Amino acid sequence: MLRSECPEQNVLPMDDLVRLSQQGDRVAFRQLYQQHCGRVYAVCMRLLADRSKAEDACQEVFVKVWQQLSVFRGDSSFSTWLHSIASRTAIDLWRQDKLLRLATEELPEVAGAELGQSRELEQLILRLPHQARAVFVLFALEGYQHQEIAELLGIAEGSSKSQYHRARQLLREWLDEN
Amino acid sequence: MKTEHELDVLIAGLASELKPARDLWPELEQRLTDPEAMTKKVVQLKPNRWLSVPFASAYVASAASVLFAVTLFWQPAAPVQPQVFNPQMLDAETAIVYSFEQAKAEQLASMKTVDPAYADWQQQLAQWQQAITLVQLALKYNPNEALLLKQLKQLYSQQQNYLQKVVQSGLV
Repeated sequence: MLRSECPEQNVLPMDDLVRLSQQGDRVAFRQLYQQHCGRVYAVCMRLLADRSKAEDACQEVFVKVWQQLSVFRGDSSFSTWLHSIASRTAIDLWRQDKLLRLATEELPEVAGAELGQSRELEQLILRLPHQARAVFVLFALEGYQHQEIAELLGIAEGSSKSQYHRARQLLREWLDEN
Repeated sequence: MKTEHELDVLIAGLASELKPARDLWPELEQRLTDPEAMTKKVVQLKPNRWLSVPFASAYVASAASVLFAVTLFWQPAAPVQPQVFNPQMLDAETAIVYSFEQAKAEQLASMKTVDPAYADWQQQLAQWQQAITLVQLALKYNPNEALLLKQLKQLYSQQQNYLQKVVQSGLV
C-alpha cells in the first residue's frame, strides 16, 4: 500500500503549526494538510468509492478545518478533531451520493493506482454495496462502534451489525474468486 | 472461501493513508481564499446561450464523435505538452488545469513501453484534450460556473484514468 507521499516539510511541532494556522498562516496550514491529507483522503475514498468525489471531499474537509480552526481549543488532539470532521464530512457526502445514485444509477469512477499494494482488497471494498461499504469502513477501518455508526448513518444498530457481516461475507467470497 | 482470520489479516494490512492521484493543494488553496468560488456563479461577460452548460455538453459530445472518425486516419502527433503554470492566474479553473496537467506530466514521464492494445493512446488523449478545450472556451464566457468546472474535472479525471492504464500496460 502506498503510504501518503505528500511532501513533508515540517520542522515545527504540530501544536505550533495549529497555532500559526489559527492566526491565518497558510504556509503552516499547508504543512498540516500535507501531514494529514493521506488519512483524510483514505476515509473519503473508501466511503465514496469514487476518485473525483473523494478529491472534492478531501478538499471540503480542509476548507471546513480552516474555517473552524478558531474554535479548536485543544480539548482533544488536533488529529482526532480533524479526523472527526473528515468522517462526518465524508458521511454527509456519502448520504448525498446515496440519494443521487438512486436517482441516476451512475456507476462510480473507481480509483486506480493510489490504492497501492493492497489493491485487490481495496478494490473489493469499493465494490461493496453502498451501505455495507460504509458500515465496513467505519467499523473495521475507522474504529467506530456499531452504536455510533447507527447514529451517523441513521440506521438501527442491528442493521449496522448485519451490514458488517454481509460485507465480510462478500469480501471473503470475492477474494476466493480472484 | 477465505477464513475469518485470513480476512482479518488482510484488513489489518490495509494502510491508514492513501495518496491522492494528484496534488489537491492548488485547488484547496484557491478555495481557502474564496470558499464560494467553486459554487457561486460569477458572470463577468454577458451570458451566451451557445456557450452555456447544455450547449457545452453538446459540443463535447459532438466533438468526441467527429474526432473519433477523424482520428481513424490521423497520424500520431507529438506528445501532449503540459501547460505552463502561472501563479498569477490561480483561479478555480487554473487550479484544476494545473494540478491535472502536473499529474499528467508525471504520468507521461513514467511511461516506458506501451502495450499494443493502447497503440492509439495519443489519439485518445487528443480527443479528451479537444473536449477539455471546448469546456475551457465555455468557461471564458461563464467563469466559475460550477457545472462547467465539474465537467472540466471529470474530463481530466477520465483522461488521467486512461493514461494510468496505458502506463501500467507498459509495466506488466
